[in-house]
Amino acid sequence: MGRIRKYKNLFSSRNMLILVAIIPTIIFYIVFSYGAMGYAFYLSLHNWTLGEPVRFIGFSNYLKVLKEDPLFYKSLWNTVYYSIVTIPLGGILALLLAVGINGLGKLATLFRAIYFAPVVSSLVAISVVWRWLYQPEFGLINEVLGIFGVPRLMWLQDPNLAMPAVIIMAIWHGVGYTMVIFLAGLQGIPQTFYEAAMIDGANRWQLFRNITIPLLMPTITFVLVTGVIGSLQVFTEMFVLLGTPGSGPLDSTRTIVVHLYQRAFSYFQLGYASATAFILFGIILILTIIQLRLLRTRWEY
Amino acid sequence: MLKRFVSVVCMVSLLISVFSTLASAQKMTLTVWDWHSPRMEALKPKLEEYSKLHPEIEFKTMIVSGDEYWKKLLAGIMAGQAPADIIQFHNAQTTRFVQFLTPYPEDLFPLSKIRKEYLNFDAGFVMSDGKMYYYPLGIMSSLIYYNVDMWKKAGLGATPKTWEELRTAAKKLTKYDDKGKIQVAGFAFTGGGYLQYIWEDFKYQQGGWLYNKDGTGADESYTGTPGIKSLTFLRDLIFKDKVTEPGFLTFTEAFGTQKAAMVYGWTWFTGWVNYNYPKLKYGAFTLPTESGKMYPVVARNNWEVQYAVLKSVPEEKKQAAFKFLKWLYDDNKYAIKLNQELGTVPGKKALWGDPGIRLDPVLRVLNKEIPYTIFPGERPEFIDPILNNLETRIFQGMSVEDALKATKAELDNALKENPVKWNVERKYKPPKE
Repeated sequence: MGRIRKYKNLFSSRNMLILVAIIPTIIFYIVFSYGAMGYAFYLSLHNWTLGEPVRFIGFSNYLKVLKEDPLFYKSLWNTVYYSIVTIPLGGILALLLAVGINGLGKLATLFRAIYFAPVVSSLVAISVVWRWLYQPEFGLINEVLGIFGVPRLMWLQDPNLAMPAVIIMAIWHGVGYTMVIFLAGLQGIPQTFYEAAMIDGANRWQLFRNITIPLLMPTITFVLVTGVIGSLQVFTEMFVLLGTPGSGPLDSTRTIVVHLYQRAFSYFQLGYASATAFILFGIILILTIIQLRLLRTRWEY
Repeated sequence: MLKRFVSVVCMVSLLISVFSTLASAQKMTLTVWDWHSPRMEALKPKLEEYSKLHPEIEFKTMIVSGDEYWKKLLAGIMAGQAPADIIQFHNAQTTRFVQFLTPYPEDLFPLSKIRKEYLNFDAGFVMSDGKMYYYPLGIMSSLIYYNVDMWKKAGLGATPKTWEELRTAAKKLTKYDDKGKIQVAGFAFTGGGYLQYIWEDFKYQQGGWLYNKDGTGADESYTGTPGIKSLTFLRDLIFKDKVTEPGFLTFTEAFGTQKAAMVYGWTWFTGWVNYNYPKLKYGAFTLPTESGKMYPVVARNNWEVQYAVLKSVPEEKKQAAFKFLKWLYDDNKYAIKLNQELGTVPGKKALWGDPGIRLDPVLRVLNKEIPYTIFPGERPEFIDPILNNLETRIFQGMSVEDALKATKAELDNALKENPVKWNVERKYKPPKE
């Protein structure tokens, strides 16, 4: 009897309305996300250069990427380099900004808007400005550094500096977004914890270390996980700042997505590019599982 | 009365709509795709003119950005569609796309006639099956552009013919500030991937080639005397003669803003300068050679090719498209105007004597150089980023030999995987000395 009532509830008019409302989204995901993913996996098992016949080759594309493509490992290292620097540096900067702005009272809205402005600006437009800032001869950055006696730097032409140049721009562009997430997390921490700790004589650092950080752990986990996923897929920053295909001087900014983009759209090797994409998917999946396990909070306030 | 009036009005409206539907059904729309707006703008008046002559044909034009053009085209073709009826083509895409193109019909475009009219037609346009798939418009190559005022101020006379004369002129034209920083580069040729282009030209002058014989690797001349000698000369201009420096403005901006007295540029640059810096007084001269003679070769060239028709276009539209193209290419005035616009020498030799070409300050120089330039065949887009590494390596302080060795190895790898099937550089025959 109870089961019948349960099914009756399942097909209630309210649930049917919800179902009708979400059907377009479900169809969209099936066709354009899962369908496309499935087709990409199918392609990864085939030798298919656009315009030529499709030939099934099993996992040969995967083996070729992993065993015979030195540029894949170069791009993997560049991706790791970008992630290792961008995520902690961007995260710490965003946290410091959020803590600073959180205590500003009425001015907080103004500063939040100022720091968030780059996030909503077009990356292409931003990159044009940054290209001029990085111009070795007449760029503002070298002009300022020159005052302190720093010799002229070839930011985008020097293989040792191209990646740091991209990282600086990426942090500047993305810090506002992370800051807003941290701000939301900070505003969710009850004041009573701070008040109680202050009565006990805790200083600012102790408040930050023992209250803010532990209570922000879910937010930090979110920022870290999404940051890793995003940075492993970094592409646009390289593409717009260094020009097509975004691999930079001596491949110093060739990330995995830049590499697979070039394979797909310069060489039109769609099977090979799809295999590279699935290897990247595997890397992201493993890293995300590890992070979620390591950073899982074992306490609740 | 009113009833009758209403019914007459209804009947008339119905008839008008039926006739207009029939009329529009008889009209044919041909879609034209290009990625370069100025070229499309030059075409538009001709499209209008043709539609007036042939009211049954109308045209729809579309500019698709350069990055997206080939992807969209190929995606459409793979889906069994014809995204456009007439497409602007680029010969760098020949190997991939020629299988999807319709050959120009022999009855409208007899190859024996075109062969006589056009320079080096066979190497540039006749595929291995003996057919032509896209139309020749003009030929482009490289020149040295110089700022006339700076030239006069430096007391320079005749333009350089040899490498050493180029070096001397560049040194005289370079200006430094008190700290030794370059204010005006005597000769700017770096940035934007242009060091590799001038190096390639100099290497051709020394007897080198771009590819090996079967297109599966780079030519041995990269690491041989032609490659080394050419790159050493360019490196010395930067580091010994200091006529430009690493990280200097790219040649386009440098020349336009008068931060460079001489720049190396392919002749599309003429249009760019005229558009962006219309008041700048400049001249152009052919690329110097080591001996001072143009024989046997001065530089590389490339064809500015024109329209192609996809195989997947319906037969009726194909016929209409080729009929239109025949009409378009019979118009020499259009060819001259477009060549001027694009900075190319007409492929049709008869047009070389036209005042529009003969009196053009850049084209008249290019005219003399073109017979001494080599057309290599297809040059896939992956080549440029690899050869650009030469500049980076030299700027990093790597020796000329090591820079060439490393770059050649990269190009060998890329060409091994993606051989250049249409490789005609060795077919080049220089005019008599």
